[in-house]
Amino acid sequence: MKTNSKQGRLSLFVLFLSGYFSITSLSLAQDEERLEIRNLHFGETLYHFYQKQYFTAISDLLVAQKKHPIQTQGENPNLLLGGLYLSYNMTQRAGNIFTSLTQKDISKRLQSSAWYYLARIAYQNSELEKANLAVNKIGVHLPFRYNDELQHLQGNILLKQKNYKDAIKILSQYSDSTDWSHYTKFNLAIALIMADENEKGTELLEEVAELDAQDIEQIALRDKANLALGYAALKAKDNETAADYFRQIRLSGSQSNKALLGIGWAFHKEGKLKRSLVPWVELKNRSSKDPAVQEALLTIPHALEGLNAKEQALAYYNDAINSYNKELATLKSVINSVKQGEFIKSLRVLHLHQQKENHLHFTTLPDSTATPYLQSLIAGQEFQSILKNYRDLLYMKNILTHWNNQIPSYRLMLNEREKAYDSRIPKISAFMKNTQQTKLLNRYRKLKSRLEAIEKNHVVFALASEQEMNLLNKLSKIKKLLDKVPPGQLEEQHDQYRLFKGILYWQVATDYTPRYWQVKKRLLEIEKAFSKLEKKKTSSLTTLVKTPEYFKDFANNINNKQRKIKNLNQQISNVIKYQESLINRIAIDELTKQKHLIENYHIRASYSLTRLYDSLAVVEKK
Amino acid sequence: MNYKTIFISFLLAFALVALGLAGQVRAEQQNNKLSALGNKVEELKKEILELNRDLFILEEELLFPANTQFTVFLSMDKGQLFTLDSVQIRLNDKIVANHLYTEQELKALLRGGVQRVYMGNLPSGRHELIAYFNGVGPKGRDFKRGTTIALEKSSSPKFVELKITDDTSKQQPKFNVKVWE
Repeated sequence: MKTNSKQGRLSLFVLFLSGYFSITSLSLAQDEERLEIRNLHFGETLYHFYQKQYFTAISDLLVAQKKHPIQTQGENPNLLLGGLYLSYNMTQRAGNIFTSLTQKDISKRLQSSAWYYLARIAYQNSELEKANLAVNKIGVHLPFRYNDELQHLQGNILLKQKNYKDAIKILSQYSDSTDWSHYTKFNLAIALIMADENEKGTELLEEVAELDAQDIEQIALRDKANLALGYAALKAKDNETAADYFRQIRLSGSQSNKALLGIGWAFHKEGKLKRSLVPWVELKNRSSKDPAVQEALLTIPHALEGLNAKEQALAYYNDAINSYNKELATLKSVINSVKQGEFIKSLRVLHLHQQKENHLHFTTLPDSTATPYLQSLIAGQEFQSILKNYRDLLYMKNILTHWNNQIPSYRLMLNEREKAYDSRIPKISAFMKNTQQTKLLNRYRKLKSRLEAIEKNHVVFALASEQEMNLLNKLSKIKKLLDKVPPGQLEEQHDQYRLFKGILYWQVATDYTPRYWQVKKRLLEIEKAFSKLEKKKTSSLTTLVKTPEYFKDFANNINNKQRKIKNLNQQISNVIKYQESLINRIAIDELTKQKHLIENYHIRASYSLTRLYDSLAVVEKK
Repeated sequence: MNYKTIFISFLLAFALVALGLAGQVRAEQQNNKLSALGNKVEELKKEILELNRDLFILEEELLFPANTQFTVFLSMDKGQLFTLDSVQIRLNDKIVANHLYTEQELKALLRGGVQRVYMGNLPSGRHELIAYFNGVGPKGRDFKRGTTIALEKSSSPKFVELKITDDTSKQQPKFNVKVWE
């Protein structure tokens, strides 16, 4: 099968998977490598980051940067912060960080990663030239795990630039062994078809269409490929092949209604009008809100007319008109309720039920009358991005409310501290005025100078114990008695006195050094105690002087923060209001578009009905 | 083709062209609005994140002054020999924290994230910290283990990291405590 019509190629081009890249958003969060944690605060940031709690993770890292700068993880904290900003839809901040990283003298691996993220940011902002420049700077040092993502990114940039030749060159390098290969193959097929290499492109698309899908995403991709091939075959008037492709699509999936409509058209174009009725009648039983169903309401009587079953066709045209009228009335009331804020209210309720801080997508649809009409709009990348910002704003408003509620308790706490401090002032003042310390210090100084004198004059008995001093006193008394006796008498007692005094002196003198050091050590301990006391006094004095200043600063800080909360709260409320009006505008535009489409069908059905009546009247006249 | 058909076809064609042109102009206006709004939202996010940071610091200084601040963190290694269900922290024989882990939290720990389990105040001096770990150990058996550490708290903040690692030689999980100043 060849897809050679220009229109067919264009319809294929819009199918290329530009969104897949940003939806999966494989940032640092999906790195397989485990970083060595050398800083607890960095680890704590990662803990929240891995749970996709980006707001908390960024806050943690900002607190750490201000209070306990992380110096042991190299440039990883900056790379992480850039990745966090990117995940939190703050592309300007992320861009600034990655740009500054590329200018630093850091490892080539980190530099390549920074260029890679810059390329992604530029692509996200549709700055394709800038994205291309960044891609060219990445070089060969990008960690291996990014290869498939990079290839997908490069391919997408070139596809958007309509540079199909280079896109084919890049995308052709895909590896079959990775999860990305099917998506890359899909985009490569589109690039080939756009570059007029229809056969090769179709072959590849057929490979995706025959994919042995392992999960829901791959099944959706397979359906998409079959749908693309089916409509391309229809445009190329290869109706049988088109029908074969449409048959491969699930009967209940996002593409199933379009596939049923396509099968019907394939049979219709082959002239098999009866067979075309089978899928279209099946469609008629499905939700009349789906555009494929609305078209089928018109194609059924059209086919019946072709079968010359004019009476039945009349009935089906009437059915279609009734259904369109009903749908138009419903749409009118839905548009009115959206205008009155019903859709926004449902989004707010949905946000209240969202427990997690952050999601890449809204997984639950809002409970609103507009939702059935807006499903594809809600699933679209652009609207998801608007919703993500809206949810972030509501989350931040909650954060501000939380802090605002905390402020009174901080004030209370500060007041309590002030009171406690005031009650301690008399005690501190008494401590400061205490004269006992001076007396003790004088005693210490006297003892110190006495020890110095003992050491200088080597007064051995000055360090004698109490018992030794008693003995020395007794010996002195004995000496006095002996001195009263005339010389030559009591010689033996004299000798005994000398012997005892010598023994006592010997005892004290041999123990002098350890005794001296013992005393000196004790004096040093006293000196340390005095110094500690002095420090405490100084610190108490500082506290006494500084604490009121500290309380004042703290109170000012709390007041400033409260003012800031109030100001930001006002700003955020305005932006939320603006964001809500934008969401409403987009929703109303989409609903109006659908209304116009149904009005168009209505006109066509009414015209056909008139025409059919006219022809029946002519037959009756004849 | 009668005059009615021609008239309706003309009307239809005109309506479609008009709708298409109006749609294009509106899409451009909308893109400009979106871009301006995106910038405003980013600026607000930046300001709120900075305020949030300052308020966190203010709260920490008020509730947990540096001289008494005491924080317990928990980290995990490969986790092949132990799946953590819950942890309880006792300080001086008083329960100060209990945490039951979700699958997402466990995954974050296994990938290298570090959880702050407890933050409080402790006066200077000696203290005892006991951590009880509950979970599933080797061979899918229930596993309970406690680890005790005697701490000397000075007048600067103290950080304690409870580390759960795999002791492959003994085929048992290991519960270590690391004190960071």
